[in-house]
Amino acid sequence: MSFLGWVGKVGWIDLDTGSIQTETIEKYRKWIGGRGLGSHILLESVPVTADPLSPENIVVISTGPLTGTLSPTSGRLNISSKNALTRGYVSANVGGYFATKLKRAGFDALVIRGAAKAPVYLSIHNGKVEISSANRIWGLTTSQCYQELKKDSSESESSILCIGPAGEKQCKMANAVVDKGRSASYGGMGAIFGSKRLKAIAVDGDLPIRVHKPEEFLAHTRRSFQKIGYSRSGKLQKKYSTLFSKFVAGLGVNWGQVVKNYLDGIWDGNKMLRLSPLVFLEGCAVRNLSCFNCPIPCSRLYRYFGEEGEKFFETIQANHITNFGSMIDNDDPQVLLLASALCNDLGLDVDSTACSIAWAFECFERKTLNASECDGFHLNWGNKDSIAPLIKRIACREGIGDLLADGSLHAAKRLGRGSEKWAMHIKGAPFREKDMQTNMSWALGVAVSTRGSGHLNGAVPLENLSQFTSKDLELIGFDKAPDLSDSDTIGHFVAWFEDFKSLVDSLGACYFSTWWMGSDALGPLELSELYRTVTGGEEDVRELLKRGSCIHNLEKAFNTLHAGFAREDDFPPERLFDASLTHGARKGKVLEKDRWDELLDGYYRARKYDLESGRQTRRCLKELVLKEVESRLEEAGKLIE
Amino acid sequence: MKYKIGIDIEKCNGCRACELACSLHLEKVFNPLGSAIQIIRPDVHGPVNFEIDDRCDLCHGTETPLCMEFCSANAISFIRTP
Repeated sequence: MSFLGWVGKVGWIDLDTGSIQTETIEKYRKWIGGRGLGSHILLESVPVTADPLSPENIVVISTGPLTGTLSPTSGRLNISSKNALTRGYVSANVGGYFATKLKRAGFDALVIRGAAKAPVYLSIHNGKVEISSANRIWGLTTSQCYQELKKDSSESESSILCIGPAGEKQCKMANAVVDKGRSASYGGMGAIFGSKRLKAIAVDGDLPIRVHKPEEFLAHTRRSFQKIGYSRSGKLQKKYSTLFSKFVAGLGVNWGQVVKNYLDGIWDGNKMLRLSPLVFLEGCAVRNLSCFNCPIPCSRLYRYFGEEGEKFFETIQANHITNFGSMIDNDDPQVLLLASALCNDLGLDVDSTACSIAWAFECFERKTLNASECDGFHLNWGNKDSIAPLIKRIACREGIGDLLADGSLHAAKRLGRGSEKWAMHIKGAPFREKDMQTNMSWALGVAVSTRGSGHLNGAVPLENLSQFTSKDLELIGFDKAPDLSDSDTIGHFVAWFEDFKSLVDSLGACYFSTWWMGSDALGPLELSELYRTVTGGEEDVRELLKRGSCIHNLEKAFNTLHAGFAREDDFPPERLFDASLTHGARKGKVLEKDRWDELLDGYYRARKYDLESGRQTRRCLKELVLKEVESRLEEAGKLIE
Repeated sequence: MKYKIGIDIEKCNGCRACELACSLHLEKVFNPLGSAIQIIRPDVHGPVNFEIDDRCDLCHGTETPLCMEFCSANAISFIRTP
């Protein structure tokens, strides 16, 4: 039986030598594709001693077996590397059109290693890779780079993945941007590209993608489209983009705001109103934009018109309103729009950038930084005039921007003066998640993420669990209605969703179309049917979820080996436990250390990790038949018996 | 009375599901070049245009053409031709 879904090739590009080699995808089949493929190749290929910004680090850009097919949301791209901020693992997942173009150009994945002597870009067309000088595009913003490359007749239909000036300057908060609007944000991916002097990748192709059982696949696709379209979250997202989560109860009811770098928990109501989602959706959105083959488009083209003239840019997400709103006490929508547009264009991750700026504001308010150290800016909460200049300085590493460019933890370590206490991070990754005190499965999922910190792994609102049917719950691993206050239940729930997310990212689908958003969206059964009819693979849903667990464990091992993370690194910032560091409506409302320890125990038990160290045990890896991981950890003396 | 496919470019999000559906119908593979519908959008943020060539058979044998069925923006409809 033929094995379809993939186009069959992984391209290895060595920027040191300019060599381009290909290998077949067959040997990676066990890892499904996308993130699974990336995690496996990273663990195999990156030396433990490698600096993330050295030529020894690699970047794996990978698609999944569903990519480029009619399977809904089949346009996701995975980019994995050694994390520039945490020195552990990172994968950034990004939409747009690049993934499907890459696959139609004849590559399931690219692995980029080494570093070019002078700036280059890659041009990929139907199985051919060319490395060209990037002199004419080095220094350009992401939108300028897109326009410049598209002027080439051979690239007029290409999708462009590129970095901005921030990536070129190796700011560890830099992102890589697909088609001037979709951001691969996590882990300083832009800085890693910059360290390789890789400005951009342009890709186009017209090779066909074949599936195993077209008619059966069409029937499953039809059902999946209907399910997503009729789901509560799908309908809301289509209408209000991701901003729906800002004003719809249920998905996060009673969640607090992140106000002034976590000093407060509830923002002034009038300020919130001035940044209402409708202000942006009704007042500034120009048109809907969709990723490839997405029935629930969450993106919009926005228009900024203000002091810096007119700018059109793709999108503000729900997190932007927190980042450049309540986090720094700004209630001016035009300032928020400009900040988002600048981050997109200069190639900076919005979350990390806002965390750094919020830290600088707090330092200034506490008189740890003075105006002369801040290039003359008075960084008082809500000083909106300073935000755009700060972002520009960060991207160019000018003045105060150089201090902030590598994230708030790095900045605090450089500055000292006790400022480490207000650098909000987990494992070095920026931390700006909404209220962590009320929703324990969310909080736990954020803190144990293999990317360091973030809600896009196992973090799921616990109230979602009550929506599932008994059949769904059985698949998740509960034989009766679970006790939602029990730490083991929460731990199991988080671990299950981590496995599920690993599977979704490896298949090449979008998490926003799945159970993560609610039980009426796509679940593992639908995804396994799509996988089966596309590839001809005979793995059932439980086997695929087990693969998800294996992929998570590859990343966990990578973190143990490369960054030495252990139990003490799975804690949220100290501020969330320390009542003396809170004020306003959050005064005294903190997490309890004992409760957090219970939650970690519950999670480690679900994962079969060692409770004391939080690390993988031989039993855990034996059950998953991860022999190579077992050997690597054993050799490093980091396998717990 | 004859009908053909029309696209309301104001509604179209440019997701290209129609191209995929059409190529599956015509060639049993996913390939926009094998589709009778071509979505034209040189700039990913720019306006959408389209072309439909004579390979379109309105998905002969089905009640609803696949492009129309999978257009989540409801941008595709039948239009009457003289």
